[in-house]
Amino acid sequence: MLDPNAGTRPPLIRVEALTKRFGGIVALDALTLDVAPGIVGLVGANGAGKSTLLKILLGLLAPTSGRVEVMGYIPETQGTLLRRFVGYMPEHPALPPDVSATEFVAQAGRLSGLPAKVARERTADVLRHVGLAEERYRAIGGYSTGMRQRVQLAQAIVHDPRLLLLDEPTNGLDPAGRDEMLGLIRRTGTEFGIAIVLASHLLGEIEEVCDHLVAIDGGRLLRSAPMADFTAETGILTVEVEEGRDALVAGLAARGLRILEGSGVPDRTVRIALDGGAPFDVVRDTVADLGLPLVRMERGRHSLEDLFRDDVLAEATSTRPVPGARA
Amino acid sequence: MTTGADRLTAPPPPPPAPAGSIYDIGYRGYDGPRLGRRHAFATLFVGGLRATFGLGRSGRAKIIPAFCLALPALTAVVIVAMSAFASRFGISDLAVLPGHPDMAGSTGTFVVILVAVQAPELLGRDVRYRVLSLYFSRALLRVDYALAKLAALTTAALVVLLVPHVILTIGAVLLTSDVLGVLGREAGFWPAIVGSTVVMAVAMAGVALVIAAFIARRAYATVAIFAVFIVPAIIVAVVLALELGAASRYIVLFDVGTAIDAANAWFFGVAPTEVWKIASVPVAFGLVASIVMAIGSCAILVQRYRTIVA
Repeated sequence: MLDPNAGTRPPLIRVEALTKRFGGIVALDALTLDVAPGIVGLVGANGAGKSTLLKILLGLLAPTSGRVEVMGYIPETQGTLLRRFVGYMPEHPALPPDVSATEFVAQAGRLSGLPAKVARERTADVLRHVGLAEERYRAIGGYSTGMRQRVQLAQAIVHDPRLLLLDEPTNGLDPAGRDEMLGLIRRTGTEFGIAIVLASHLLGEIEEVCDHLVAIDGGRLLRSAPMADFTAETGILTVEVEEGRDALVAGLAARGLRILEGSGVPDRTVRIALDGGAPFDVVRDTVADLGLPLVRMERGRHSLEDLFRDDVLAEATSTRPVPGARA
Repeated sequence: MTTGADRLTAPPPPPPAPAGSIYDIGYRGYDGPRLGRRHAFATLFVGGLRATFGLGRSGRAKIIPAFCLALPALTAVVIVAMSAFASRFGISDLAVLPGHPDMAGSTGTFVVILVAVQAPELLGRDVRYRVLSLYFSRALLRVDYALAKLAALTTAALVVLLVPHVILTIGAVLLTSDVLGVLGREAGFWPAIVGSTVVMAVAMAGVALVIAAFIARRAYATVAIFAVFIVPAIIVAVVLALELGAASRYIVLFDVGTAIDAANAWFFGVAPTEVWKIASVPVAFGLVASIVMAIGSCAILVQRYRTIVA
């Protein structure tokens, strides 16, 4: 966690029982969530409600019900005051083709409250930070997708926001462009000290950049926890043998270990529930006694992908009685 | 990124472009004043005004605004030149020459061209390229955006309308030996000039922006704006010619151009256009109709931007 004082200060974002309906469609369903400063990944499938949540945090959309507070402001009624301190990068391209990056970003800075002279100076600064050199004086219409995304990031940080809301910032980028964009985002969060909420449906992206993760699905909170929790060791030991799996299963069961059914290479691996113990010697001795060719013995780790698997989900929700708590 | 090394086993990535490197000079924060809505409004207004005249845009974008600004001005210069020519023959006041009350008629055409071409430019661009979401995520309200654009186009129309009047006044003062007398006479015109041009500018800019706000495609919006300024005049002429009865004469109130002409006649206290005389509706009704169009279009525009998806 970046901010050691997070526990003693009000959270950056506080969402309470937030519901948003579009006609009959429920985009957000009684979502409750606190977000502390840092780089927070907001993950969910397309249509999970990520963009809707960001727009409500900005005050671009009004909640149907519930309460939202961002840095102490109510976005719905104090939007113009709040937005002086927030940067936003929408998921779609949103740049006019006929003006230069310099002109557009400087205007963006002024619209966020910077005096004209400051806006000009900071425009030069942030465009250099995102890596736009000479081309910044040319019309945006001639830019590559990667350059446009850089301009979109620049317009979001030109006014030195306290909070940056990024909606699918690597949309349409090639792998190299994607890596550069993620690098820039991480730098913005760590070196520039700007709190970031990064919405993405790409788990790898979130894993690479974020230190905290909020997962939503169908407008509801799945889980909110530090990134380390998601990649922590699981309570499962996987044992793989060249042959004789059935004998091994029988032998392990005879020594009182709980064997799990399910995934892995079906006739070669055995999954054993650790149940808090460390039966590594027992497993080794069993394999040795049976004279089986051991390939590996590995303690499982969670991956972010597990988050969206039903069994892990059930485990996560049962072991986390207070979703969203982070203090 | 340590993962970069692992990826090198894959096909070699393209070499990073020189522009892609990050210049490491450190980030500077900002702790100075953060201004509010008024500042944002002024920024949008000035930006819109510059865009209307094509300033900061390509040379091609300057052609039509320059044409709309120059031709009415040129007309006024020609009038001044002719009256200078006449005065050499001892004719101090050539009655056949157009004066201040006649300017609206000739300049109006160029204002129609300006608003028809630039209103879609001011609004359609931000919708088509989805820039609105970037504007609305800043320190302003949706209504600020709509009113700033309206103020920008109105001001541009006002400039086009006022320049010929200014030239006529300056010309009249320069050409006379009785400077004080002429200054007094010209000063008498200016309340009517200001009143008529403001009503005209707001009504025309407002109507054009309302149409542009509903038609994102620039070409279609421009055609639609021309149609709204031209087609009703034809319908009015036909209806009046058919002599459908007393009530039908009030159709003149629904034509922007005719109503504005009547408002102009009201301000200057001169006879209205032929169409208006045939309709024999009081010119004050034309003024009221123009003001209703101006205020109504502002209201529709604001309402449109309150609900537009960004």
